[in-house]
Amino acid sequence: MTYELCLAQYLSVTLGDTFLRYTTTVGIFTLTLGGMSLLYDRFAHRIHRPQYFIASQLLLFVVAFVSQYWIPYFGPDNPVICHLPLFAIGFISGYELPYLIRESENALKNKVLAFDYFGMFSATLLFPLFLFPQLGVKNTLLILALFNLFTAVVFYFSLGKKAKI
Amino acid sequence: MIYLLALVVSFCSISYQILISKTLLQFSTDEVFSQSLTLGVYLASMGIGAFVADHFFQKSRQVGFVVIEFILSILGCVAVPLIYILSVFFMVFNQDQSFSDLFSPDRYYRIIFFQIFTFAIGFLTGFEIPILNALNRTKTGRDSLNTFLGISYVGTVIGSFLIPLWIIPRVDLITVGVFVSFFNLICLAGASWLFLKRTPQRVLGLFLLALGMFVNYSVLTVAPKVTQIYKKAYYADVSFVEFNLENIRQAYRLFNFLKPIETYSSVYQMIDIVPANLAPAGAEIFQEFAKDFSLYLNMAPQFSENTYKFYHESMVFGGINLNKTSPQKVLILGGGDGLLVAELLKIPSVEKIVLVELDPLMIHIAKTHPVISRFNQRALEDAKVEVIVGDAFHYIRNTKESFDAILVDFPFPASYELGRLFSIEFYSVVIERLRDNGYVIADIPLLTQQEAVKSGISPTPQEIMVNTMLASGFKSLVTFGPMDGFVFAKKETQSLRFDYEKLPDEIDFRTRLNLNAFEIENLKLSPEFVNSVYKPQRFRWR
Repeated sequence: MTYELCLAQYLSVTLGDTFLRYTTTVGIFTLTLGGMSLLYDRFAHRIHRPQYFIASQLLLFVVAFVSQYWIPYFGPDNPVICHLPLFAIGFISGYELPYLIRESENALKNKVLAFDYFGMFSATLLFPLFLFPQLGVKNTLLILALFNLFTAVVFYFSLGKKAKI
Repeated sequence: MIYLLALVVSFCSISYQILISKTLLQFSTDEVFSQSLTLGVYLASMGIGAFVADHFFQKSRQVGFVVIEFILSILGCVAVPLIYILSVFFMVFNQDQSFSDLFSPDRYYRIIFFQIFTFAIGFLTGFEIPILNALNRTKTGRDSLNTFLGISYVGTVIGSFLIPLWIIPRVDLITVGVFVSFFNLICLAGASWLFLKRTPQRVLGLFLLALGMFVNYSVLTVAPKVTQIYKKAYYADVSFVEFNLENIRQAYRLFNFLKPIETYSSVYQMIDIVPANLAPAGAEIFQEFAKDFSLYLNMAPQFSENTYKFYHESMVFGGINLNKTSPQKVLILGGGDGLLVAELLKIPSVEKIVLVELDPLMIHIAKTHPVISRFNQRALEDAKVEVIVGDAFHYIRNTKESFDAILVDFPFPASYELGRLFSIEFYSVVIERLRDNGYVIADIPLLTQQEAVKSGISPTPQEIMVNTMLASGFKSLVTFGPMDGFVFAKKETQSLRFDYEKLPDEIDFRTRLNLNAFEIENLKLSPEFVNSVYKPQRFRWR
């Protein structure tokens, strides 16, 4: 379950916004991702909640959906505003993996990490060779946003089961 | 301290990945494939490494980490030279010669073959973070995988900025490997000092450190030689039929004997200049090594002494001939070698030329290189010429000026990055910068009908370009050039035919042969084939 979540998310985040300049994109994204991971343990007692995880998925869905209109709308004249969705995606994604790692048992932690890498692997191969040329940026974003929505729904129901037991 | 280790090791690993990716790029015109494959293999093998990390080194993670650092440092510094040397063997002792042919179909297998290095480095890297985390857990009692993860992200960012933007333009790729490998050795030393407490373990650490230093030093000393041998083997087309020790010796002597290849690298590309005759002064009788003086970008041919004339004449005289009128104000995008400018300055009506080139190093070479500045007759310093160093897309979007002719001289669209300059977004702006009765001419890869059928490539590059330019608002266009392909387009409706009577007498006979239109009727017209920044086409031509 956790693995699937990881895969789905990492597909989405790695693919998020490539039509911005490549280096700035990767830089901002990885830095916000890293920043969030660093902060996570410090604030874990406050932010480590399943509700927040679901919320993060829904937020990602919204941000991914909005960003495709956001970026062309503000155009090249407002580079800072244009990069805001990127920061948002970075921060929210930076929340996901630490949540999943903390949630899983000790023995599984490295495996979550491994699946995170696998997710990025499939993204790096799928995106340039298939998704980007076949579907284009807009449809890819849409599909990934739906992935996130799907994750949120699945996670919600699996929580429900746990609660019953 | 342990966090610092995590930072440095993740920096090293991403740097190796970038390095291998850059090295393999030289084998293929398909950058999209080669770069995503290398990154993909790296991430996947890192995943496998992290997945199995728990099952290894259960006795002593400390020693395990030190050993991993040692192997990584060795792998990192020998990867590029080994790729070079193995390629030389393939090139010299391969009868079908396909390896030295950049466009051969089995280049994919070579790129895949050399992924063993990426895999090995990625696999070992996958161990690092879990081991460090486990060591930290036994020491502090807390699990801080998230913190390690954050730090390794930061290391990755540092690597992916520092290496391509700052290190690679300064030294050759082998030296970059040694540079990064040195950081791995520092980690080895740091880890031995931090984790290894018993004397025999410490001795082992010291021994590995010394061995690593020795390997680093040896690779560094042979770096220039190996690079030269690799480039000479690639450009000189030497081959031996039989693979034996004597022939290896012969080949080695031969490569030492040939003149060196000039190599430059910038943030954007690697520029190689092959001298007119590879045999050294006094040994010119070795006619088989006489080559055209030529310039290569990322090891793909750009121009040679023998052919540059008709390429640039085709663009200048072909364009004017199709348009029926000579331009006054001209914009050149790309073409930092200055050869196109030199040709244009021969047209009396031309009053002003603006040239926009991305790579300042190319401009510098065009102005100062003894041979190239002779070819372009110092055209870049002419009073009519304005040289702008910058991104062509950025320039054309922001300029208020308009032109009678826009000459687009970019490298072929091997990557999505270059493909942006062949997109509907680009040409929609270009058309707005054209004056009435102005035209645009661009060099593009062209496939003949037979080539297209044989290679099974669809859509062909000209189909993509014609569809893209029609969608950008151009009304009439023609593709021509059996030897060097071009597309010519106007926003007015006009029949476009060459008027061979009107061509100046002094042009090269090959230019006349090249001014030959392709049948445009057979092209498939479909909005599906439009190349857009948001929905790119993958250009393939070989």
